[in-house]
Amino acid sequence: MSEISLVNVSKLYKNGFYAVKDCNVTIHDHEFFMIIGPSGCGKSTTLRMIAGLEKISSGELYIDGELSNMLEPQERNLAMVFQNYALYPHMTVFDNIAFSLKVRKLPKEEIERQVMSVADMLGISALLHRKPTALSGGQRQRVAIGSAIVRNARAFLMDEPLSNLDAKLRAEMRVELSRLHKKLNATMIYVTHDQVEAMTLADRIMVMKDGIVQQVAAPMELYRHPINQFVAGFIGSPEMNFIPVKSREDASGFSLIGKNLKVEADETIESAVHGDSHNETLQGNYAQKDLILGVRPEDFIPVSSYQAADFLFEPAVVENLGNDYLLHGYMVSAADPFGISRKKEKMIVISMKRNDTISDHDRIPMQIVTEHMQLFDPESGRNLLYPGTPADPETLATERRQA
Amino acid sequence: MNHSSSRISRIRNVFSATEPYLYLVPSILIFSIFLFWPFFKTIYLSFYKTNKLGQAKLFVGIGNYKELFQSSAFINSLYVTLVFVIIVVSISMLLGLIGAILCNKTFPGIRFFSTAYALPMAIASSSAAMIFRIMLHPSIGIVNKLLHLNINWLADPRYALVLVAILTGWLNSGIDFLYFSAGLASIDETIYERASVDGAGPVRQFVHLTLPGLSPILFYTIVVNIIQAFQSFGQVKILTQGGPGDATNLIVYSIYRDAFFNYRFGSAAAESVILFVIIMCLTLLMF
Amino acid sequence: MSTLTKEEIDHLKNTANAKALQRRRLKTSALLITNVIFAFLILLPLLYAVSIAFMPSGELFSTEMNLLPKHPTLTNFRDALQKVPLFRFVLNSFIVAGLITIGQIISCSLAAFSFSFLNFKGKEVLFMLLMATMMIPGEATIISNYLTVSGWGWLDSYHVLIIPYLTSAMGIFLFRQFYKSFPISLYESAMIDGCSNIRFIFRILLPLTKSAIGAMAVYTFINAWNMYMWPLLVTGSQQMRTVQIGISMLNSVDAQSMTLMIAGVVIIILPSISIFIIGQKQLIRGMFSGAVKG
Repeated sequence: MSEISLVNVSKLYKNGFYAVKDCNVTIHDHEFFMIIGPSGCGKSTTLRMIAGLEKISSGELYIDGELSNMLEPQERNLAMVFQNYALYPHMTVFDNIAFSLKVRKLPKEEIERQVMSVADMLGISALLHRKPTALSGGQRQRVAIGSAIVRNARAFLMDEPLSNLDAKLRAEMRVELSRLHKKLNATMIYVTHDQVEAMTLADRIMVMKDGIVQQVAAPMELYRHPINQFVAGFIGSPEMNFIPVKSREDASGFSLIGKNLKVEADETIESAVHGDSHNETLQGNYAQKDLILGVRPEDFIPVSSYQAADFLFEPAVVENLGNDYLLHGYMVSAADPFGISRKKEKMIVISMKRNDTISDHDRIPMQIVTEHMQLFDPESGRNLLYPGTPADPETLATERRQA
Repeated sequence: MNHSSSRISRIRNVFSATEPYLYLVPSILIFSIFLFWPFFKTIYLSFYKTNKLGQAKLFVGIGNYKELFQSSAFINSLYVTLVFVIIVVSISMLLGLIGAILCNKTFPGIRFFSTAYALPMAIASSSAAMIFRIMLHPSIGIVNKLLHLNINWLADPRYALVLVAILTGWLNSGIDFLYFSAGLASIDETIYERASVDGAGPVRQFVHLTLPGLSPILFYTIVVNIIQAFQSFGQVKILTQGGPGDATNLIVYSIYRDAFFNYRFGSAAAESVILFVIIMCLTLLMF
Repeated sequence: MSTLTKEEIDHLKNTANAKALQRRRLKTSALLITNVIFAFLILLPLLYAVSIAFMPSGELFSTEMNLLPKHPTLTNFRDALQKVPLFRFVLNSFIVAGLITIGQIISCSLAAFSFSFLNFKGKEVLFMLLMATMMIPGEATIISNYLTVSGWGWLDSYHVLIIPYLTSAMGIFLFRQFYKSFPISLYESAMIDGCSNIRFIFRILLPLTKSAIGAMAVYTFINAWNMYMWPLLVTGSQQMRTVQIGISMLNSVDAQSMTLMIAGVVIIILPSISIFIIGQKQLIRGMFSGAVKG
C-alpha cells in the first residue's frame, strides 16, 4: 500500500493542447481518492499517466517517494480496472483473474488459493469456468475488479468502472466497492463523471475542468465550500441555483438584492464583499459589482408570512420523487406579492420533504438558509466565501518531495 | 371500367409477387447456365467414356473413378497436390502474419509498407511465374548468382514443386496480410493496456493475447488458403507444365492435361468431381 | 527518507528521460528496419522484374552480379510492343475486366437487395443455394463449360470471356452483408414516401454502399484482369487474347529475349497494381465489413 504524489504533472499534446496542466496532488495511503469532472477534463488522462499508459509530458510522479515517470506500466505494480473491463476474451474467468499472478510466476496452488478467495469475496465462484462472453455486464464488472484486487498491488486504479452498468446495478456495485475498500484497506484512485458515485464513495475528491485541477477536498467540504462556481455547479444534484444579485447597505443593514429577492446578509458576507476577507486572493471591493448568489435546492425554508420572506416562490412544475419533491418555479418579489412573475427568467429548483400543501398556483413565502449561501464573482467564478487559501504550488511541491 | 381496373390490380398483384424474383434473374440465369448445368454435366460425363469432341459415348458407371484410383499417376497427383498445399499455406500465412504484425502499430511509413505486403494479391499467377522463371534461370538467374550455385531449379524434381509452391505462397500472402491485419485490428486495444499494468511484457502479450486473439480469423484464413492453393494453375502451366516427370502435376493441371491434350474428358470430369468433393469437405469444415 | 534537492531531481529526470527516449527510438528504428527488410523481400520479385525490364539483353547474359542495369534502356519495352500486339491485349483485358466488374456490381447488388429487403417464398433456400456455389471450384465446371460454349460457336469472342463471369456468389454475399447493416426502416420510410424498389436501389442503396462497391470493383477487376485458365481455353486468335495469355506468347520465344518478355510483364502488371494501390483503402474497408466475420 502506498502514497502517490503528482508534482506539476502535465500532459501536452503535439498540437499544443494541454490535456492536463500542472496537476499537484498527493494521494495518501489507504485513501479512496476520486477524480471527477465533465468528459474531456483530463481525468482519465491523469489516471493513465499514473498507470504508465500515457507518457507524462512534464512534472514528476512519485510512487512511495520514488520518482516513477519513466517506469514502464509493468514496473509500477499497480492494478487497474478499465471502463470496458478489458477482459481477455479467450480466457476463462479463472484465467482472467489468475493472469497477473501467472505473470509473476506464483506457484500453482498459491494462484488457485488467491483466485478462489477473490472469487468468493465477489460472489463469482460459480462462474470461474465461463468465458467473458457468457457473462452479464454486472458479472464482467466483478471479474474485472477481481482481476485487479487479486494481486497485492500498491494501488488500484479504476477508470469509470461502473459507467457501463444500468442504474440499479450501479447502485449495487457502489455499495460493494465501498465494502471492498474497507476490507482491502487499499489505496484506490477512481475516475468518474458521476458525482453521486464520488460523493458516496470518496474520502477525497479532485474536481477537474479543462485539464486543470479545481479543488481537492473531502465530499462534504466540496459540497459546502466549493472553491468556485464550476465546482459548486458540478457537485450536487439537482444543481445549485445561481441568482444574480448586488449588495446594498442602507438603514436596515447589509443585504443582497436580486430582481425579486432581498436577503439580509451577515458579517462574514459583508466583510467578504468589502474585500477584507482573510482570503487574500479574493481581496477587492465587490460593493458595487454584480455578484452571483449560490443556493442549494435544499437550502430554502418555507415561512408563514410575507414579511419574513426573502422572496415568494411560484411553482411551475412539481417533480414527485416519492420521499422528496422537486419544485421548479419562478421568484416573485415579496414586496409585491401580487405582481406578475417573469416567466422568461430562469427557473429555480427547490427540494422539499413531504410537503402536501403545495399547489401549482400558490406563491410560497421562502427564506434562504444564510449560512449555506455562496457568493461568486461572475467574471472569474471564484467563491468570495471560500474559507481556505489556495496554497502556493512551489511550497506544496517541496513538501511532497520531502515525503 | 370496373372490369379493367380489377385486371390492372390483378396484374399489379402478380407483379408484386414476382418482383423479388426478378432481381435474382440475372444472377440465377448466369449461375444456371455456367455453373449448375455444367456442374451436373461434369458429374454426368464422369460416368462415361467420351469421344474427342467431349460427347458421352459409353456408360462405364464408376469406371473412370476406379481407373483413377488405380492409376499411380493420379495417386501421385493427389500426393503432389497435398504437399504443394501444405507448403503454400504455410508460406503464405507466415508471410501474411509477419507483415500484419510488423504493421500492427503505427510508425512513419506504415502506409507504404502495408501496401507492399498486400501487393502480391494484385499480381497474376502467369506474370509472377514468368518473373520467377528468370530468377531461377540456371545461368543468368539471380538466385544462382546470389547463392553461388549452378542448379537447374525447375528441371530438378527435388526443387520444382517446392519452388512453384513458394511462388504460390508469395502470391497468396497479400490477401492473408489483409485478413491478419483485420484480425489484429479487431483485438480490443485495452486488453494490452491491462496486460501491461498486470505486468506482462511484450513477448507474453504476443503469446497470450495476440495469437489467441487471431485464432478465429486464423481458422477462416487456413481454409480459404487451402481452397485457393488447390486451384493453382497458371504458374504450373508456365513454369513446369507438370514436370519434371510428374513432380508438379497438381490435380488441376492434370484435369487440364487429360481434357485438352489427351481428350479424355470423362476421366478429367471424374477428377473434377473428386476435386469438388475435397473442396466441399474443406468448406463445410469452415462452418 | 532523504530530501532531494531540485538539482538532484532534475538530474534524475533528465537521465530517466534520456533513457526512455533512447529506448523508444531503438524500438521504432528496429521496427522500421525490420519492415524495410521484409518489404524488400516481398517486393524483390517485382523490383527485380523492373530492373531486368530496363536492362539491355546483353547485360543480363553475364556471369557477374547484375542487380541493376548499368546502361538502362527502353528498347525492351519497344521490342515487346512490336513483337506482340500488347496494346491490343491490354485493351481486350480492359474491356473484359471492366464489363465483368460492372456486370457483377449490377447483378450482385440487385440480388442482394432482394435477399435483404424483400420477402418471398424460398428466400432462404435460394440464398443457401447461391452461397453453396462458392464450394464448386471453377475447374469442376470448366470442361463442361468449354464443351457448351464451343457447341454454341462462341469461342474466340468477347462475350465468351465476359458472360460466364457476370455474377458471383462472393459479391452477393458481400453486398447482402453490407445491406444488413442498414436499418430496415430506411427501406420502409422510402416505401412510405412512395419510392419504387428500382428507385430505392439506384437513388439510396447504391450511393450509400459506395465503399462496398469500391471494394467489390477492385477485387473483381483484379481477378478478372488476372484470369488465366478460361481465356487460355476459349481464345485462339491474337485479336482476342487477354494480357495474361498474350504475355505467355513472349514466354515461348527464344531465351535470348528474356528482357523483352519481362518488359512485357511489367507493362501488363502496371494496370492491376495501379488499380490496387488506388483502391486499396476501399478494398480493405469494404472487404472486412462482412467477409471476414462470415
